[in-house]
Amino acid sequence: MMMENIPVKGYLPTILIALFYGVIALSMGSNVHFWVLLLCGCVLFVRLSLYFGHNKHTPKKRTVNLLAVLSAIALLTTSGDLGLLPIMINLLILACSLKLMLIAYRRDFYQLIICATFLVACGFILYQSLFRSVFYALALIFLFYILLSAHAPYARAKIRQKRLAILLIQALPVAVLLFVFLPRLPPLWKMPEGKQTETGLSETMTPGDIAKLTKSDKLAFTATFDQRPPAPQNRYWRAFSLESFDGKTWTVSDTRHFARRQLQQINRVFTPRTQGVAIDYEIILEPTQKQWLVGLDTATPSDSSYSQNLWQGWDYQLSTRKPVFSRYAYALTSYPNTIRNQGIGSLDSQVNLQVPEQGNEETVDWVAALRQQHPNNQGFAKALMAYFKHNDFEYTLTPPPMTTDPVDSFLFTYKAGFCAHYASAMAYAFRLAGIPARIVSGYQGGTALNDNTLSIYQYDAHAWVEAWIDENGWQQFDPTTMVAPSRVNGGFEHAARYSGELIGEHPFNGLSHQGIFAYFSALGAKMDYMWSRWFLGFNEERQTDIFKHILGKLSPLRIALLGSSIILLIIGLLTLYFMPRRQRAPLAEHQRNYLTAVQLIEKFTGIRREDKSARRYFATVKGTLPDPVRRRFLTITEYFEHQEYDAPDPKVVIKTTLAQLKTALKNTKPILGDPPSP
Amino acid sequence: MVKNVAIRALAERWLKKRISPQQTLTLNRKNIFIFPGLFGLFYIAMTMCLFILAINYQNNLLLFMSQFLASLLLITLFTTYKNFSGLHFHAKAVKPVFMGEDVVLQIKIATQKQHCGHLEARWRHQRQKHLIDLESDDTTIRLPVSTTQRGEFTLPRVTFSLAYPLGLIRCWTHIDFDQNYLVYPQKQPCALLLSSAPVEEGEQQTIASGNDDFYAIQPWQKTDPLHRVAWKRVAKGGDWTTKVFSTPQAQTGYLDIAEHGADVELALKRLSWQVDTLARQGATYGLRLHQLTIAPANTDAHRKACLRALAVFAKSTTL
Amino acid sequence: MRTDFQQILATLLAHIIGKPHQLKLAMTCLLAEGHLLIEDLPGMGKTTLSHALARVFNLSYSRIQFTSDLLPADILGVNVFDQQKHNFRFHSGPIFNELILADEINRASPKTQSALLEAMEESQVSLDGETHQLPSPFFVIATQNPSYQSGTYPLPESQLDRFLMRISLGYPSYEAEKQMLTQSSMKPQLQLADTISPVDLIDYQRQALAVNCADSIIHYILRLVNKSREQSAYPQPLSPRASKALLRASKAWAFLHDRDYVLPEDVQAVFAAVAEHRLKGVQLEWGEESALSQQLLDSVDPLAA
Repeated sequence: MMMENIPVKGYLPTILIALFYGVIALSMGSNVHFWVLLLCGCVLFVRLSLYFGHNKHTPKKRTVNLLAVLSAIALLTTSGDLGLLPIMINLLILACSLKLMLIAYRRDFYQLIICATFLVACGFILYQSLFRSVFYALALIFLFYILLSAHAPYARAKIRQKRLAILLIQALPVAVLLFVFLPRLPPLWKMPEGKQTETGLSETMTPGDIAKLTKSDKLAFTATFDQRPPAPQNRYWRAFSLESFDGKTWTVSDTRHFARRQLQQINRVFTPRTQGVAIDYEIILEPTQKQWLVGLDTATPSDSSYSQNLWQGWDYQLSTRKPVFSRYAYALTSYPNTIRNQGIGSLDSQVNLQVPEQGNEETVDWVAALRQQHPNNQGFAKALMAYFKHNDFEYTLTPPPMTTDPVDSFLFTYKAGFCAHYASAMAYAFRLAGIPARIVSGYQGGTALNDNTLSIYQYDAHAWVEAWIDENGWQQFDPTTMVAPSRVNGGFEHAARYSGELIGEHPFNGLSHQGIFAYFSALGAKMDYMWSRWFLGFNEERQTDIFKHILGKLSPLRIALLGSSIILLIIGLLTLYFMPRRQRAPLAEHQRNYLTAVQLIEKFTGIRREDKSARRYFATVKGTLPDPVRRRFLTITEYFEHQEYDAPDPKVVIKTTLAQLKTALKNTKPILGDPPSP
Repeated sequence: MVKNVAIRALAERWLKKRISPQQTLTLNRKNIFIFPGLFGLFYIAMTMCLFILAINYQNNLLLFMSQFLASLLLITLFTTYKNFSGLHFHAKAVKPVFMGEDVVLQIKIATQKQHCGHLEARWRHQRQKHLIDLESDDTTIRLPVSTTQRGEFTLPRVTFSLAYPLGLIRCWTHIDFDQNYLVYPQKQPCALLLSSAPVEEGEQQTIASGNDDFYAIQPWQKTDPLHRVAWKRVAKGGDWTTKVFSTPQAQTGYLDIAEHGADVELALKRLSWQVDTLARQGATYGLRLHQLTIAPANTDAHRKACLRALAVFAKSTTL
Repeated sequence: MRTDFQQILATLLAHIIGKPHQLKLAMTCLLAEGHLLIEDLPGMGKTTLSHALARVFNLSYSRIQFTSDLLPADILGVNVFDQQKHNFRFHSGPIFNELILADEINRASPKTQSALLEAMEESQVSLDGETHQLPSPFFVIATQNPSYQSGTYPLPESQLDRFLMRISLGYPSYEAEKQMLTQSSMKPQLQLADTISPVDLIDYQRQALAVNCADSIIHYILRLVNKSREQSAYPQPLSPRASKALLRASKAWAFLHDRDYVLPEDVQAVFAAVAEHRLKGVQLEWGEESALSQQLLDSVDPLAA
């Protein structure tokens, strides 16, 4: 048992816990308020001084209570814009720091340990990269070490470490077995969202309002191809379509939303008629908190097992049934040569021809004129693209703001902007010309991680247009290629570096592309990818794959067999760890031989040896033994006595006599019942 | 209150059957109780919370963490048990004490290689705990019991518990060491009062002669025999002094309760002191307590017998 | 048994009829260089035994009758002032013999008892600053009268431990007593060839000590001794001196039976004599069987691995 009252001075576990809280609070970075961090530091300082005995007394309870009230008020006032999870984290750190100042009893210590474990769990929710995961795992191990130290305070540090290691190593295989084979359950209810991701695709796009496009270099997703990845100009990753336009802003159409929900409820799935070459690949999507999935046109789920979670909409868009809260892996097969002329005709035209009543008069006039010139849809499209190419348009991340009649301003006044501007103008123009068109929001490009894998970052976000041209259905148009081909061919990063406009989140971002740093950052990215793929991406589908792999078919009987064999395996492991080992030293040969002979005689005569010495036992049983047996047993007894108490003679071998004894016994009828009186 | 007592009595009866009284005991599955402690229960609740969180967030890290915590609990279940089982307790015989002193029960614990951590020992229904480190060289626990009256009593059960390694699972047992302890009446100093013995068995009061346990020196008086003079001293030019020899066979007498007044307890206390003092002097004395008579002797066993008689005198609860 | 010892046994049996086991134990005690304690009622043959032992081993013999007024000086000796030479001369007491019979040791005062016991322990006598060595070999056979009589000082537990063995002769059997009465009253003559010289005895002692003792015997002895320490049924546990005594006695017994290795039977044969008085801690009652040591022997398995 741990001691009931925790000493103030020189008690290691207390100081270790204080350290633990400090480190964890620090590691949570921007999720923790600065002043909470400061408080943590103060507590650590107080505990250090108590540990070394500079102060004798812990702070008074009244002081701490006052601090608690103040901190609560401060937390309430400063946490307006934080999500629920960070608020909880701050609260937890605060409460535990204050408790740390007053720790006096065993139960206080236990409470702190439980809260600390919750904090580590929060760390796992917030961060999922390999580096962070390893860090928090080590923190958890450190926590167990503190717990062990509290219960065995006088053992040497090395012994404590060894014992902890043994415990953890014993627990690990069991945990791995559970992880791999315990069936995955679906979520029970919707969880509160974490901090709003500032990066990521937005479902509204207002090009004119954005004066500066900040591009994040956070990973958006990775794609691993069975064969070589497609060429850079074919790397268009559809996420979702923006179909409502009010003159300034493009948004996801409410009608589409509604229609999707209805169709999901009645479980109607759209299966596009695919044709042409198939590309197989797997995507690991970073958490988006949303339900759309990325894929190359025209993407279909690779496996029917995915159809549970993946749903294909009539707008050729893939989505999941549950929002993507953590990294999500899925496999797709894309048929880029498919003609996308399916869909709900009425819905599509209705939504995608909608134009605002007023605004952008210049564009309206210009489109009308252009339409007269090119009554043919294909011709019109070509003319539109040519317009962008030959009219000194510029690609920039910092265009001037265009708040009134933004399309007009863009097309005729400034002629400078980024992908959103171009796509918006083009789609609008199409619609004005009576061709259904919409903006596709997604990503374009990707950097090669290895021969088969691409990493796509948030700065690769892109917007382009698709328009329904005659019988060919939706066709893709990217006006940006007319203006900044390097953007498409070399990736955004390349273009940005060229134009000097890349703004990253890390101060050392430029550094990470030079020399040895480049090597390590690439290595880190690779390891992170493996981590995502094999551990974080291990979801229900993968598990089912493994089951199928082991069992062949998935019948209830086989699954039951698998379940019971896993349980047996766990029991086997436990037995291995905890079965009492034979403590006895192995018996010497002469002892073994003698004991074998004694067992035979006991069985024969019914007289047990109990506590008698060799000689006495012989004297007890000799009357009941027939002659040949008695002679042999006498020899064995004498041999044993000689070997055990006199000088042992390795040359003497008794096995033959033992065998003779056995045969002699076999040849005699066994004596049952009471032994004759001596 | 009554309910409490009744429950306790029931528990005691059940325990008596399960863990019978004995002076030495090795722990095995028949006499170990095991259950998660309060901390362990909270830990289980936390693990389940994390598991639910993991499912809802679809977070593999949390899932593995909760499964790891569960496996760790399972492992510590067996580890704590193995750490407790096999401990061998041996209680030394309890020495009788005088009232007011504490009776001390010494329990020696024999450990094997795998036992470690802190063992907690306390009397079963009391709160004060004693911790002992199972890996130290000296694994003896001393549990005191305060004495408030004379007589013969049974020691209550001792509760041993252990929560190593992580405090999640608690192993405990209640051992009855089958020890009675004797509390002699408190010593009350008074005058020595030996009544003379009736002449029996031809025993006579032996006159001290020639028996030579040198006891003291006193100044020579004319009536002292010459052979008792300390001549060496005289030869060195000192005063004439006489050697006095103790007479181990001095008056044998009886300590009689009847001669010590009506207050029984006070009488017993006085007798207790007298027995102790006489025994220290090596005198021969007997004891008479109304019906009970103990013949005179001067051995330590005799002293113990007398004190025991005093302790249990007129006590209705005899064990 | 060794032939020379067999002859000795036969000689002894002629003196004390019908007690071969006790006589063998006595011989073992001598071979193990230990002192012997005999507890018997008067007239059982204690004096006869000691005298016979002294004669058979050719040891110088003295008998000290312990009475209540015996002084240490009566045992150890005294410095006497020589008038002519004007110095003190040491007059040795009866202790300066090879075999001492301390008869009725429980009748002397504790001071006198301790004088003898200390001399036994140290093999020398110190008097007025001078030390005088006791002879070698040196044996003490002490006797105690077990019946309770007031005026006695039975040996306390700590002193009992100094005696390697304790035996009790007891009443002879019907046949033995009959033989004793009917044989001639003359003391049987002792041939010189039937005796062993002290030098030989010392050599035999050395050989007895050198008897091979296997690890399992040591373990057996340790198990016996530890059992007495663990359980409360034995109020006086066996001390390390007891285990050493047990080992020496077992070796001597094995040697007596013409073996150069010790068997568990040897340990069991000497155990009651070696351990009972230590276990009981007090003077044993007359006729009391060696209950405690038998109980201890029965509870330990000689062959336990």
